[in-house]
Amino acid sequence: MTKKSAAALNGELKKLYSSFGYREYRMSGFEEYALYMENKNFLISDKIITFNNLDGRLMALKPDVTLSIVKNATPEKGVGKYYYSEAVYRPDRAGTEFKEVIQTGLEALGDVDAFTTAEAVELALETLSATGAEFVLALSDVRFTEGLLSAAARDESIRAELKDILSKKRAGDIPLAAAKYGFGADIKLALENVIALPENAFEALDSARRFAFGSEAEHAIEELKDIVCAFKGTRFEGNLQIDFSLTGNTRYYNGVLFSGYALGAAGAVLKGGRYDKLVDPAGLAGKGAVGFALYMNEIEKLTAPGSGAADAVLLYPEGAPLSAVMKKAEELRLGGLKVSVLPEKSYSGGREKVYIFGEGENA
Amino acid sequence: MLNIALPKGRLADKTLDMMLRAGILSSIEDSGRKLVFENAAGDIRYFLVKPWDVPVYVERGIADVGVAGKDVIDENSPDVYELMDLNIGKCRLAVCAVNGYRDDPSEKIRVATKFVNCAKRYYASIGRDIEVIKLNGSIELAPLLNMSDVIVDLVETGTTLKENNMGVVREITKISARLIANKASYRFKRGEIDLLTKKLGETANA
Repeated sequence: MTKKSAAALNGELKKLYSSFGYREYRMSGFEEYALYMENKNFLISDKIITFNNLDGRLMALKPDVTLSIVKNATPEKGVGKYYYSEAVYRPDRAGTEFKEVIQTGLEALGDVDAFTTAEAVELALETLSATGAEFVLALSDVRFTEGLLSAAARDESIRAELKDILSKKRAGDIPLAAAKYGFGADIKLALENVIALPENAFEALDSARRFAFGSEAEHAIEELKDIVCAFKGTRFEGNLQIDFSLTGNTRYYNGVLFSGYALGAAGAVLKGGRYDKLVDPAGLAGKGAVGFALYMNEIEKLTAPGSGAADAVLLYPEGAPLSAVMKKAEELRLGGLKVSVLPEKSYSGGREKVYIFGEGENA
Repeated sequence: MLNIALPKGRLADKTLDMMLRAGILSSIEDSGRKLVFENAAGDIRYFLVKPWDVPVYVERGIADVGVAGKDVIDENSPDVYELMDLNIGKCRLAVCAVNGYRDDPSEKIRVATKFVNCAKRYYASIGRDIEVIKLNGSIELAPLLNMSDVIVDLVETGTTLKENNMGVVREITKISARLIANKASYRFKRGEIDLLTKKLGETANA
């Protein structure tokens, strides 16, 4: 469990990303609504908080950071590398309320290649490491999962059902789906194996290779192997896992996908991957993009409970000399405690140590 | 230490019995009013919660794994893994009506159910417009008192339906208990979860 504050972590990450040549990107609080509507396929939800600006333009509280960076910062030549720390506004999982999500992340845009992708994975590992929590970065690739799903069925609704089986590791439903949709023993075997790949990344890739349907899926395995090999013998070797239950939004992602987990957080705290379709929808310009976001709201939950609260309270009686109370509080702070000074008569109790001015520790 | 959320009631008895046979637990404590239990080896802690709350405990990582009915999973769509069909707690989710009921395709169907999302999904899949009436129990009463045309509910033996002059109109899906896992726990406690799954799988298929 990390004891770093979100602010301290953010500062550390900015230094980290800068050291890799990434530049800070700052967004305005609002963007024109049209940007998001034109690209709604790329958004997690099409529900957006909108308002009319004073000049009549329809504006939105940004639901996403990546779209704006892609629109404004994709270079004509070379690779543009940017990091950000921004709030975005999205519906909650139940779809009943909007919530503010604080994201810190990065994007690399333009002539993105295998190295840029591997570097993004390295930065994702460094980011998770900086949280101070035990962590895992799970890797997948939509070219592999789409290859398997396409081999299993042509019908879009059947593929959607199989994708759900894969993404939720619904092992018990594979025989039922096989019988219902009549796919072959090879697909059944592939689904059963891909759902339960070994924990070791190399073993997982060796196992998955047998179920790569089509050349794109084979490329995916090769690229994942190159990435995993790049971290062999490093301090991150044991932090990488291969998990094809990460299936991703294929309207957005087109290659490597990754999802970071920190011990103590219930779900993924970091998500990212290769999303060339956003910068080059027709795939003609040879442009690509890769990036990820760390969800600071989830990281804050890892912080030790009550770490922001005082360790001790110094209670002073009415009429106590001001300077003497301040001196006593300073003594306690010098001893390493976070001290809140309160009038004795208004103290209603708490978990912290209690010092009463003129006496010693009371509880 | 693996934390397991189990549903209170009949399914808990069946699951605990299964865990006993699988050698995961060496004995079962008399529950009484106690809600949290630990096995003798101290490597498994299980707690009893309302069946509808099991996926909540697992999704939020309070429990690493849990046992939940497929009906509860389908209705709430928790972000968890469904690792295994335990083949216990078997029943059907079905559309039921008073015997002799005839669907009038020109009218919106009034559907009484506890499974609002499942009912909406099913009727959307067959292109029928419905009015959902959310009830929390005694669902069979709704068509008997003409509050609804049909109900969407779990059917195990069908005895309650028969006793109320009702029957199954259409089966929506088969239901059974599933072993579910928290997505982060699956990564950090993979060995323990795999062992539990293997042992339960051997017992379920014995």
